[in-house]
Amino acid sequence: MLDAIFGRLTWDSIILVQAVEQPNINTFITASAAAMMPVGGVMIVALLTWMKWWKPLFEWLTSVDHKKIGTMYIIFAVIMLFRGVVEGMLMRANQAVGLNGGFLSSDHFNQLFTTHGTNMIFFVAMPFLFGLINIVVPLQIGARDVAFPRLNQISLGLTAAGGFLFMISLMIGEFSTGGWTGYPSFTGRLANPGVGPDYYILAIAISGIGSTLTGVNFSVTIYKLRTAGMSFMRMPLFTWTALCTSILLIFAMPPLTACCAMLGLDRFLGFHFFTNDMGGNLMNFINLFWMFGHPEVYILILPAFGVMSEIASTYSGKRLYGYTSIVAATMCIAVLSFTVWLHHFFTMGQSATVNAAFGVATLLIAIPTGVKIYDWLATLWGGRIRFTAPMIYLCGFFVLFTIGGLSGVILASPTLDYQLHNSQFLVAHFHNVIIPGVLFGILAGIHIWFPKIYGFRLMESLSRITAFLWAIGFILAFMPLYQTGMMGMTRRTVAYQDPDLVPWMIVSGIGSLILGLAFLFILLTIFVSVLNRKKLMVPFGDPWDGRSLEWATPAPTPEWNFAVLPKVECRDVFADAKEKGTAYQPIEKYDDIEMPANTYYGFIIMIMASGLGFGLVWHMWWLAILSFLGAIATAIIYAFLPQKHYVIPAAEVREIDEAWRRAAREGRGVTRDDEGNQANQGLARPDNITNP
Amino acid sequence: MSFSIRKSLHPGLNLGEDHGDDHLEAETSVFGFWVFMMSDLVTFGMFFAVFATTMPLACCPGPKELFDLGSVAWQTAFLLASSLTSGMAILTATFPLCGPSLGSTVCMSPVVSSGVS
Repeated sequence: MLDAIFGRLTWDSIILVQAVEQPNINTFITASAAAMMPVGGVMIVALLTWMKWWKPLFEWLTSVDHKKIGTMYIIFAVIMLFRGVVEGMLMRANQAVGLNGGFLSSDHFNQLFTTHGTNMIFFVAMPFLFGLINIVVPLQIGARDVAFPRLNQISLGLTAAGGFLFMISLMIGEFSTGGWTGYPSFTGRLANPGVGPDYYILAIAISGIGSTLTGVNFSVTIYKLRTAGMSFMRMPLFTWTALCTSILLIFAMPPLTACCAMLGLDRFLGFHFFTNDMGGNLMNFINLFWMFGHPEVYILILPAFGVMSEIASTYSGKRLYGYTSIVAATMCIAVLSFTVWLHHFFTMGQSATVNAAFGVATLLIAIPTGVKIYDWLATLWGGRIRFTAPMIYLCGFFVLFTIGGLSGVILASPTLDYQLHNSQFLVAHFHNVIIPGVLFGILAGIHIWFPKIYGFRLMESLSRITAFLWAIGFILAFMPLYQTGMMGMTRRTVAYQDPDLVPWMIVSGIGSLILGLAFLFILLTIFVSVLNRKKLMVPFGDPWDGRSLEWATPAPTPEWNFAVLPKVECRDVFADAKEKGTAYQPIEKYDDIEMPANTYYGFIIMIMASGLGFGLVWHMWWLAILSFLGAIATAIIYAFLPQKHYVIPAAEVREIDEAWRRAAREGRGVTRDDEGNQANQGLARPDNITNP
Repeated sequence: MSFSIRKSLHPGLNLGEDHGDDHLEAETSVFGFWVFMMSDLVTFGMFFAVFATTMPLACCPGPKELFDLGSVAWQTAFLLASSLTSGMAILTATFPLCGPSLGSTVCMSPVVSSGVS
């Protein structure tokens, strides 16, 4: 009877119980992590009740506003980043003392690198970028919302459901030990009958479906909802990269869904897709996984490139150099990303010719990337450069990302790859492109667009310290790994016997401490900025002398984004209007604005998807079936309910919009000299500097 | 056969008169639907790819031994015919003035739909 209700879930599956039964350092660490969740949960409930925030919370959870959904993605990503950074620090600490064995058991260490990788890719980098894309893209193309606002909420719900499964594995049961790539047959039923790989499959499959839907939503948004005159070649670069990322999501997520589904069939129903015997072929999984996995790398990096483009032109006060070539390069990268997946397993046993073809295809990607870097450098040349936090990220990116890219070129050569694959060199390489590339882009993007949504800037001084901490921490933590990799140290090593590795590992451990500090500085920056928000207000909405449409709105941006949908006649439309003195002109006629109303759709789907995942992992079939049928029923019911709208009367829009326009026309504004001062209220005055 | 193809084309069939904003709204949904179908297509393409690479390696009973392939073929044919006739029925119901020939003409000529997209 109990088996029917609880499936494989027993009292001993709960991590805290394990810690009481077998107290040691490993169970102590997992138990402290597990305990953080109920403790954190109780604290959040208490805070919400104390501040009477329950109602606002539900207004957020049911909102279909792209800005609120974007914010929720980013909050989710920050929470997951905390877990990811702590896991990284634990692994570095273990390796720093790992000569002849560190303090972690190998099983615990294996779970750590699996969760660290899965987390950082699926629940940190992607939600961060989806958050930024959600917030920025509709504003940049002059739209009121995304094409399918309710679908957007469902995507968020599915991502959150995946995150829920991932987090609950910390408290109940265990996570996979097969690395973030989860190769069978190690993750198959025979070698790994436990719940770990099931958690892994379901967490990434559920959040993966959410990502596919995000891709559909944003490609349609960008294709169909651009405002009048916003032709493709007038779109800001961030929107271009968001479009390429959406296209990649549409085509790259399906292989992941497919290989997760087949691994799931192997595990749950005893199929033989990827088993060692009975005609299974595990290389199929690896091929499918990397058919997703390699475009995934560009799904992450392209929006970061978009942010870098915005920084290069905005923070040097110039139009972007070589716009067309950057667009072409972005598209080239998007296409090439589908042609290189095999370089992740040159040692599969295929012929040298196949390896050579994929090696050359990989080398080719360096060309469009190089084009972009030179374009950004040329944009800076002779510009009105301010060395603010985003510019620090951009300069760090120039130096560090290029090193990471070049080490990728080294790995692209099959002959060298035979020596270096699965070594720490590889670990150094991908952290070297993901931290200075993706993470710098994300953090710079948050710094730039934060005032747009919340109406106040982040503290410049603290943001600069954060940027330097990330750069220094990264260099110390990961540059030594190039060396140890060439000395023969393999990745995912819990213990080693070569004393020559120890100094490098200690430097790397110190670097990880600095990265931990850098994470705390993100929270500190936001906290101190919120406390000082009165001094950092930018009500006019243009704190950085911006160039694209999103800056032509007040800050915080009203829910309708644009009182009247703007017309676009050139690239960098807002910069052009400011130059001609036609920005903030009064508008003759306002219309009523119809906005989609809040809905519980996404929230219900999130609960159903979480229930489905949890039920499947623990073989609680009743829960899985109920949740699945519930999700289908929800979808059918909502499909027949008309989508509700509410109308904002023209008079109300007029009042708010006219007041803002009048104040902006009468205001004096500040030049770039005062960008970081309290005087910067978000109204830009031109500098008397001529561009070359 | 009086269906016109508008200047602003969307993937799928551009039939009948333009209905202004209503048409534009529907266009977004139809376009989104097709984009989603592309994604779906890739998913199933992956299953077929695995099928194709697994078959030569299989040591064990193949489809021929496991299934009555003749029956499978008939079932598949019926299923596809049902999709086809549903499409014809919907088109004929949507554009009754064009007569029943419209549905069959359009559904039978995939060239039209792929040419438009």
